[in-house]
Amino acid sequence: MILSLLISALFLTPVADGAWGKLSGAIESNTVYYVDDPATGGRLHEWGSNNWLKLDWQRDSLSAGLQAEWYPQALAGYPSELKGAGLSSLYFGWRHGAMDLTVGSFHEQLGSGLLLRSWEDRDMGINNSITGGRLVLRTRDKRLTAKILGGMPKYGVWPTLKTAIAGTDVSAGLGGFTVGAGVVDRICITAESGISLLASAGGFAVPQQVVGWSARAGYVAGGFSVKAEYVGKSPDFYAEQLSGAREEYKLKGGNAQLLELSYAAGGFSGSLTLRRLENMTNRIFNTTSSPSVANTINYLPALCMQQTYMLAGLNPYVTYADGEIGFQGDLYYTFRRGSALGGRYGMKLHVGGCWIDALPFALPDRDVPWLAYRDINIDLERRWTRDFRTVFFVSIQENSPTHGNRKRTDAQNVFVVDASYRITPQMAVRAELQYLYSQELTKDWMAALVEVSFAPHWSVSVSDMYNHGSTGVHYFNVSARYTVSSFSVSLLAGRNREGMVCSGGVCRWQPAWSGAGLRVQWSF
Amino acid sequence: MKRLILVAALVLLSLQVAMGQDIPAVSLTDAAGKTVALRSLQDGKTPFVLTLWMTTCKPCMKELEALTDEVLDWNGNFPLRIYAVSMDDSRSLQRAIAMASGSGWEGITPLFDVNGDLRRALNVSSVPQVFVYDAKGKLAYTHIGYVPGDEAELIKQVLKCVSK
Repeated sequence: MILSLLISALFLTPVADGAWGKLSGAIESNTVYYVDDPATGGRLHEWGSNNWLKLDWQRDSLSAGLQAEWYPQALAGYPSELKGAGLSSLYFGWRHGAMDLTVGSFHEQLGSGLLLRSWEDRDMGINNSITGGRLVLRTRDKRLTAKILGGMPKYGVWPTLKTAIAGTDVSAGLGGFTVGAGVVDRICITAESGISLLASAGGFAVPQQVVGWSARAGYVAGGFSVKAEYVGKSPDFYAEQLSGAREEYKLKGGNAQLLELSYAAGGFSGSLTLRRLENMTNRIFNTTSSPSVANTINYLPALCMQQTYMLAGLNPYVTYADGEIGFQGDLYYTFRRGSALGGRYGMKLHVGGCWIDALPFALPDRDVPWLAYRDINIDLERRWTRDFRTVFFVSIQENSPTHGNRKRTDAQNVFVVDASYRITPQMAVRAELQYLYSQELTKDWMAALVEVSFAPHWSVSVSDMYNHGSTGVHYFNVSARYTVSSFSVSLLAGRNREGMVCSGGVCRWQPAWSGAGLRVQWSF
Repeated sequence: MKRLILVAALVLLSLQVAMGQDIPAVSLTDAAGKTVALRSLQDGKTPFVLTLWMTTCKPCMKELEALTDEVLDWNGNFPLRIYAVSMDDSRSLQRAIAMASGSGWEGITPLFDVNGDLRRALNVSSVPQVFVYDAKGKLAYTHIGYVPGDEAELIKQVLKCVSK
């Protein structure tokens, strides 16, 4: 904290004339006061607050920065290791020609992230930045890039001393072709004692090193592109689920295959992603306790598109890294302005679908794959006048609450009408009506939202989700937001259901909560 | 709490220097996968707009449609240059490319920040966020979020850059 003050004070005046470089930064605070609510089972604690301060300095080829995080009591549902204050990032960088050197904390991704990804997602409570060093070398024409890195991943508000990571990656491009390969070594410095005991019971020792590798290739021509990646992982501690809730501990390797295709021409475009995962979890450290969503060094996002309408996102798909295979496809078409179907302002059609099966060997007593998740969705957006538009959205979902561990699945169909109208050049109103039809789980839901905005500063919204099929509980929320330049403050209050919340395809469990919150975001 | 207030006060003071920041020295990719240095967008003659978006962000779609209208209705004496930079990661990159190609954003150039370099350089914590850079490559205006009508203020700021 003192360091941040010094840096702010030191560079405040010189920044204006640029003599001492440029200072930029951001501050974000998210605080919620929880209240008792018998309808959702009471409150976990009285309040929670997540706070970040980030400062970056740059002058010519030199850069430096830090990030401080403060969790006097983390918000409900966030990883439990986020507590207290810490300097989660401190780095110094030097860029010279085609060379880029970082000493301290950095984020990095190799390939698609299946092999290694360190990133920050504040909505998820994830920041697994690596503290150590990274060197990136490029040829002058940038056709060849090599990276070498090493350090300790962050866990909680400080880097952990339990694990070290070392990795290297090379990528090359020529014309429309690209190829690349990488290796990452996760070195266990201190294994959790519980894991060591379980490994002993399985007749093996916790591996000191887990090595992952990947090879990838891509081709782009005109509107067409194809990318493929193969990732392998050496044997790692693995708890195999047996029938009767028993577990068997063993060493097991992993692998993944990824194929991405896309095509675009005129107003049409489409993309298709196919992926197969087998034991691809790669944690910062293995643990006997329930693993935190932030305990990871690679990126295994849900393949299915993350739905943004309230009811369509009630039961999102979460990646089953032990073994799954599936695809996600999207088609987009714009009926041009002036065409018969497009009318004066055009019309947009999107058709999306995903299908995920759980692989049989990852499940007990199984020899065929069973459906884990399916979603077929269509949305049609039509603009009727310059000021009035509508969106019709349908999502047909079927998911297995046991990730394909049982044959039973739950089906739900979601229907949404979203209409917006601009009343004056500055004032607009938007309304959503949603209905979820299901004969399983909590059965039918309905939801409505009204949002009124006053450009360029204010927006207020009121929404309610109502489970009239089973529990009869209303989830009522109100919010207001004020924005000026890069400063934004939001006030919200209401009741929120328990369930999975997702960001960037990664999900965490959110307990039910009722209360009021304040969120401030500021970048400068 | 005192320390927190002090930090907040210093940050408040430093806000005055936010405008005038240079274009960050980061590289993005275009839809064909080619590297585009952000600083190469500065042509020394006209301002340009960066709007940061994601495939899962509904306000971003609305903003891009509104900006498409502005481009189509534009009758200024210089080209209105708008670059839509996707913040989507590698998982959603193909979808972002497909969406940018198939959504009819006429006159808007899509770019992609797969590794999050621009996001970190500009300290973007939520999307959409727009940035207007003047002809000299200095930040002239930024705004978080989108509500209908924000595009009018954005165009006003673009015109202000030229009339300086």
